[in-house]
Amino acid sequence: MNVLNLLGGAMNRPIFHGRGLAMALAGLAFSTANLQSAEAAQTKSFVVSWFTPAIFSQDDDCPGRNPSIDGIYKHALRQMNLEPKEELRMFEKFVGTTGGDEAGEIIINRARIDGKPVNAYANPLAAPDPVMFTVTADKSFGFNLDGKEGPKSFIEPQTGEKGIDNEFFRAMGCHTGMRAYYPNRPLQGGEYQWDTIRLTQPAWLVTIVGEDLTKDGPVNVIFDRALEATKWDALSQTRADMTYRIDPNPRSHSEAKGYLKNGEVTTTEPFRFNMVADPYYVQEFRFKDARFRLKLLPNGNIDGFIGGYQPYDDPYWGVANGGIALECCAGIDFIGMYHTLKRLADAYPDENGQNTHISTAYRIEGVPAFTVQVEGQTAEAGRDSKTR
Amino acid sequence: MSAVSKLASRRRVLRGMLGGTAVTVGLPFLDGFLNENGTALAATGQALPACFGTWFQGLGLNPGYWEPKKVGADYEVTHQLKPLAKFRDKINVYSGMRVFLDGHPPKVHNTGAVAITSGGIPEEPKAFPSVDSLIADHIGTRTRFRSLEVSCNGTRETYSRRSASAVNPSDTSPLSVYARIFGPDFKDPNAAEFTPDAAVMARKSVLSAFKEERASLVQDLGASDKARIDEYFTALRELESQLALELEKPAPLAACTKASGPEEIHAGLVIDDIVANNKLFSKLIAHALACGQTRVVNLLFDGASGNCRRPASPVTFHIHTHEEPVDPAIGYQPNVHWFMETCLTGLATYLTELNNVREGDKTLLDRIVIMFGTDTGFAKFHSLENIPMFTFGGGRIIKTGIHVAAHGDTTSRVGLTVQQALGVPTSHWGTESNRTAKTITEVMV
Amino acid sequence: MKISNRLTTRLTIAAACGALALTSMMGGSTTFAAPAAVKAEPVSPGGPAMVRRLTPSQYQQIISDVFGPDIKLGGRFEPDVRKDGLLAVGTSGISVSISGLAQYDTMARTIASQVVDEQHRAALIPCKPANTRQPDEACARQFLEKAGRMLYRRPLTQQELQLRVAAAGEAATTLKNFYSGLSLSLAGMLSSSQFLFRHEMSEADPENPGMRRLDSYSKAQRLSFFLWNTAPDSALLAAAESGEIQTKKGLEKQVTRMLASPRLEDGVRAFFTDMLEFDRFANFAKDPQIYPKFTGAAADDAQEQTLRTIVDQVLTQNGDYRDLFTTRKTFLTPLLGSLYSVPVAKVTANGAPDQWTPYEYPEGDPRGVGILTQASFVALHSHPGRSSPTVRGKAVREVLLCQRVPDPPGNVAFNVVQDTADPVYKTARARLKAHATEAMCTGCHKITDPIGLAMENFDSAAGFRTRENGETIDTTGDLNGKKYNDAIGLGQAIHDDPATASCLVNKLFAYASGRTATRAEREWMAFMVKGFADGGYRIPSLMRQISTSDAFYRVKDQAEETKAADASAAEKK
Repeated sequence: MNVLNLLGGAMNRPIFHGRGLAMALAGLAFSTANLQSAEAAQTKSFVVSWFTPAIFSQDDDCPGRNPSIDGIYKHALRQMNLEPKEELRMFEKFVGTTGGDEAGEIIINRARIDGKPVNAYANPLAAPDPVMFTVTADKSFGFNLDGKEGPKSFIEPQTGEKGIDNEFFRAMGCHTGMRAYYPNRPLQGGEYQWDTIRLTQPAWLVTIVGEDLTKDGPVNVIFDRALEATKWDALSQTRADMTYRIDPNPRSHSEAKGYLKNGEVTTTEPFRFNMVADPYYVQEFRFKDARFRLKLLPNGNIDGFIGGYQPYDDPYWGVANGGIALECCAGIDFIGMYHTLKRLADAYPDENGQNTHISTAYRIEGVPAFTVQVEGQTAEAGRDSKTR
Repeated sequence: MSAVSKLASRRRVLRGMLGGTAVTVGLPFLDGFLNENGTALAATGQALPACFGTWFQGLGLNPGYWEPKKVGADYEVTHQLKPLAKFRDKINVYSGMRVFLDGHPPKVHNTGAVAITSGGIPEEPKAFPSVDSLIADHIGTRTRFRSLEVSCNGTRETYSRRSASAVNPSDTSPLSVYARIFGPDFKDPNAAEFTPDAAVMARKSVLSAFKEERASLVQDLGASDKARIDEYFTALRELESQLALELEKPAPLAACTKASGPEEIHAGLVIDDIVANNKLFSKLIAHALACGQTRVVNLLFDGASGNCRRPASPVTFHIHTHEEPVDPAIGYQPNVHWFMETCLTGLATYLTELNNVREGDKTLLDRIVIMFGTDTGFAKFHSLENIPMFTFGGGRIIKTGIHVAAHGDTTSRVGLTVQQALGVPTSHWGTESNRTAKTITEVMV
Repeated sequence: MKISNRLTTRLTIAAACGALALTSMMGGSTTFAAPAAVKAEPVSPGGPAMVRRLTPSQYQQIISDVFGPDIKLGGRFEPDVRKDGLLAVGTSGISVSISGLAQYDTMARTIASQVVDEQHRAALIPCKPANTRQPDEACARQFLEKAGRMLYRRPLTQQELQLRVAAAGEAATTLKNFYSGLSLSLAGMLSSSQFLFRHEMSEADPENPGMRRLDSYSKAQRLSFFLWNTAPDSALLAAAESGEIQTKKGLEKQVTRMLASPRLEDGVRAFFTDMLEFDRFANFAKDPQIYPKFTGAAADDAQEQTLRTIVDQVLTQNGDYRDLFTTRKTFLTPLLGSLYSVPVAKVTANGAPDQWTPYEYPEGDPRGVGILTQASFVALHSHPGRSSPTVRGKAVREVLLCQRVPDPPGNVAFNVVQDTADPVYKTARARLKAHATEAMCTGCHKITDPIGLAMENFDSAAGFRTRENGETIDTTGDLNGKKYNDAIGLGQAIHDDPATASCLVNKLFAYASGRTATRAEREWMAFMVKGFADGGYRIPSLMRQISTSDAFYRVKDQAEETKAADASAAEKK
C-alpha cells in the first residue's frame, strides 16, 4: 500500500469532520480553509465501538433452550440410526470442546448427499432441520419495517411502539449464545465476534451533520468504513478522539435522512444500509428499508439501534465460517439456525414465494472520533463478497 | 580424583595463570573466606541453587474474586485463593495486568497463553522463547536436565519453547519421568565428584587483577570520592568471593532422597485423572529439585483450551466458561468456579510437596520461584485484561507474601521480574506493547 | 562541591514557609542571575575534579559508538539519584553496590562476547590470532590498546595495558580459546572503575600560576559528555593527546566541530530528559478507569513530543529558549491526537508504525503553550487520578525557575483536596481554597497554586477541559506579580521571568560539571546569564560560551577542599 501523504499537494488535502464546533482545528498539515466546522453546518463524528445483535431476553421468553454441542452431537448420533448400546458407546467418545477426532467428524459431517456424510456447515440444507425453539415473548428491539401491526409483530420495550419486525431475534433468541439481558450484549455476534474482530477490522464511522446539533432539527447521518482499524485504550475499549481516514469505497457508504429531537436522532425515511465487515462476523451487512435511532449521550458517545431487512442467510454464513470450532462454543446449533432463519424470513419473496430477507435489528454504539476524507484512496482491506 | 587433590590442582592452575605478571592473587584470602563462611553458608542454605518453575492452568480465574483489595504485604485471602490460603505468605499476587494485542489477530486462548509465557505475540509460524527457556539458558546449563516439562492431562501440551522449531514437549507419564530421573543414570549429588568451571576460574582471575588498581585511583581523591571508589572495590571483592564460591564443590544437598517409583495411572482429560497425575508429578519434581537434577520445571495442569471435564460429562471446563450463565446470587459461574477451585487445589498439592522438603530452617519451596501461567482474564469473553498473575515460593530469592496492583501494565512485567530475580542479564523483556523494562521492584530484594 | 551543598541546605532550612519562602535550588541562582555590569569574563575559582558514574544512556551510547549499535546490553542499571534537581549532579555522589556490579559484570560479558563473536570479530578486532586455540599476545595487545583508549577516554598506561593483555592470555590458556580470553579481558575493562566512573584529573595551569585545571583528557571528557552525552571521539582524543585542546584556539576548533555535529541533538535531548525529570515516567501510571486514553504508549509519545518540540525550537530553528513556553508548534502522533482531542491522521500504511506530524495550534488555543501544557509536563506533575495545581505549580518553580518550594508539614489533612466528587467544592480552585484556610498553609500554596491553577484546563492525563463537575474552570493567576488569565498568559509570564533564563544557565552548568555552582562562582555565572541573554537566549551559543570558558575546566586545589570538609565535619561533631 502506498504511504498516504496527507501533507502533500492539494489533491490529497484532507477534510476533517470534527467533534463539534467547539473544537478548533488547525495545524501546519491541515488547512483551516477546508474544515467542515468552518462551514455553516455542525458535524459530529463517531467510531463504532460495538455492533451487536439487538437482543432483549427475558425469563420465560422461550418454550425451551436450544442444545449445546453435546446436544448437537446426540442429535447427530440419532440420525445415524445406531443400536442404543452403540449410540451410548459413541456418545462416550465425546472429549474436549470440539468432541475429539471421532465425535468431531460426526458433528461436522452430519449432512448427507446421496447418502454420504458431507460437511454440514457448507451444506446446511443437506442436513435435517433439528427444529429449534424460537422466541414466544412479545417484546423485542427493532423497528416497524412494513408499517403494519401484524400478529407476529413485537412491542419495543423502550418506546412501547407496536408493530416491531424482528424475526431474526425470534429465530435466535432461544440459543444460549444469543441470550442477553439488556444492556448486556449477546456472546454470539457480540462479545465473541465483534470483540475479536474489532481490533483488526477497519473501523466503522458514523457522522451526523446538522444546522446546530444542540437543537432539534433535521440532520443527515452518514455511515462509512475507515482505512484503519479501531484503536483502543487502557481498558481495551475503543479509544475516543482518534482520527480515521474514510474509505471512499461505496460498498461501505450509506447516507440517511433523520431528525434530531431531545438528543435522539431517528430516521425520517427508510434507506439502504451497506457496510463491509469481517468474514468471521458477517461478510457484509446489507439492509433494505433500514431505520435507526441513535441517542447522543451526555458523555459524548452514541448508543442506539439500526435495523432493516437483511438477506436471511448472511448471518448464517458469517458463523458457518467458524465451523465446529465456533459451533462448539457459541451455544448455537448452526444447522438449526439456518433452517429457522429461512423459515422465519419475512420479506422480499423470490419467484417461488420463499422470502429472501429477514427483519433484524442491531445495537450500535460509538465514541467520538475525527474523520478525514482522503481523495483517491481505496481501502486495501476491502474484501470481495465472492470470496466466501 | 578426590576433592582434595582437585582443590590442589586448582591452586596450581591459579598460580600458573597468574605467574609471570605483577599481580598476586590472594589465595590465603580465598581459603580464609571458605573456612570462615563455608560452614555457615551450608547451614543457612544460601549456597543452595535457586530454581524456577511454571504452573499452567487454562481459562484464568473469576474476575473480582481472586484479587485482594489490600495492596502490599498481609493481603487478605480472597474467595478464589482459599485453596492456597496456608501459603499466603509465600505467594505474590499481581493484579491489573494484561496482554496487548497490538492489532494481531487474536487466536482465542492461544494468544494469551503465548503472550504471558513468551512476552509477546509472534507472527506465526515464528515463536519467541518462553520465559522458562531463557532462565534455563542461564541456570540450567550445569544440571543433568536443563529443564523438565510435564503435563497432567495426558496431552504433550506445553508452552515451553526455545523457538517455533524447538518446542519442549511435556512428558505425560509419571513412570517415564521417574525412569528418566531416578533410573540407572541417576547420580547422587552428594557423592558426585566436582569439576570447577574453567570459565568461572578465568573470570575470577581477570577481575582479581583489577583490585590492584585501587591505590593509584584513590590517591588524589577527596574523602567522599575516595569512599565511593572504595565502595566500588568492596563490591568487586564481593563479586570475586562469589566466583570463588562457585569454584568450590557445592554444599551437599542434604534434603536429597531418591523418589520411590510411582505406579502408572490413567492419563486423560477427566479431571480425576489430572488430579491424580498432578499428585505424582508434584512428588517427583520435589525429589528431582532436591537432588539437583534440574533447576527448571514446567508443570501443566491443563492447557489453555481447558478441555478437562468431570467423569461421565461431555461438557468441558471450556464449554462451561462460555455457556454457563453467571449466577446472580453468587456473582460467578458455579461450574466454572468448581473447575478453577480444582485446579488451584492441585496447585496447593504441588506447593505442599515442595514445602515439605526441609532445607535447614527453610524449605525447597523457598528456593524456587514458580510463575503462574494462564490464557485469559475472563474466559467467557476471552478477555485479555486483568489476567491473574502470581508467583509462588522463592522466599530466598524474592520478597513474598505481597500483592502488587498494576494499572493495565503488560503481564511481561512478571516474566521480566522472575528472569532478573534468577539472574538473567536483561533489562527488558517482550515485544511491541508487551515489551517492558518495568521490573516489579516491590518484590525484588 | 561539599561546601556548596551545605550552603544550599542551610538556605532551605533557614527559609520560613511564608510569602518569601522560595529558596534557590541551585545555590542561590537568583543572586547569580543579576545582570553583571562587567565586560570581561570574571575569573572563577573553579571547582573540584569530579568522579562521576556513567549514566545508563551514556553507557549505552559509548558501547554503541565503540562497538556498533547492534550490540545488545542485557542486564539492568542501578537507579540514578536526583540531586539539586538533576540526575547529572547525582552522578557525582553515587557508587556501585555489589548487586549493581554483578549487573555491570553480566552486561560486560554479554557485550564482550558479542564483540568477539564470529559475526563481529572481523569488523571489530584488527588482527587475527596465529592460532585461535591459543593466546596471541600481539593481537590481544593491538585490540585492547585500541578499545581501551575509547572506553577509558584516554590511552591505557603501559602497566594497565600489560595487565589486560596478560589477563587475556591467561584466560585464553584456561579456556583454550583466544577469543574467549580476549572477551573476558574486555569484559573486565567494562566492569572496571576506570570505565564506569568518569575520573577527572587535574594539573597545574601553566598560564595561570597557582591555579589548576583539568588535564587534557579530563577536559576532552567533560566537553564530550556535556555536548554529546558520550565519550570523546577519536578526533577529540587526538586533540587531547597533542595538547591542542589546552590552547584557546584548539579548544574553540573542537567546540565548533562538536556543535556542528548531529550528535549535539543527543546531548540536548539528554540534558532536557534530565532537567524535565522524564526518568519518572519509568514508574508512572494513570488510573485507567478515569483516564483510559493514557496508555504506556501515550506516555512514551508524550516524552518524545516534548523532546521533538525542544530540538526543533532550540536546534533546528536555533530559536529563543524561552519560546518553549509560548510556541504553538509541536509534533504529534495519531495517539497523541486522541489524548489532546485534535485530529492527527495516520499517514503510514495500516500496521506500520505511526509517524510524527508537525502540528501548529491555532492562535489563542490554550493547548498551544509550548512544552508547558504537553502531557510530559501536566500529566507527569499530577496524581494518578486527578490533576494537582499545587504539584504543577511546584514543578514550574523547581524545574523551570530553580526555586525550591518547601515540603508540606507532616500533619496536614488532604481529604478536601482529594475528593474530586465533592458536591460543594466542584473545582480544584474551590477545593484548594477550602484546604488552605490556615495561615500555615496559605503561605506555601500562594507560591504554587496561582501557577498550577492556570493549567487546570488540562486534566491529569493532559486532556483538555473547560469545566470541572459542571462548573467553568477559572484559570486566572499570577507569577511573581505578573497577572494572567490562562495557560497562555502563564506561558508568557514564564517566558518573561528573568528566573527562567538564569535557571536554564544554572542547570546547564550543573549538568555539565556534575555540581551546582558555588557562591564563589556567582560573578562568573552572572556573566554567563548575561551572555545567554545577549545571544538571544540560544542554547547552542550558551553551550559554546560555557565550553570555551577556562572557568569550566578550572580545578580548585583538591587538598584544600578536603581539608575544609574535614574541618567542617569536625566542627559539627
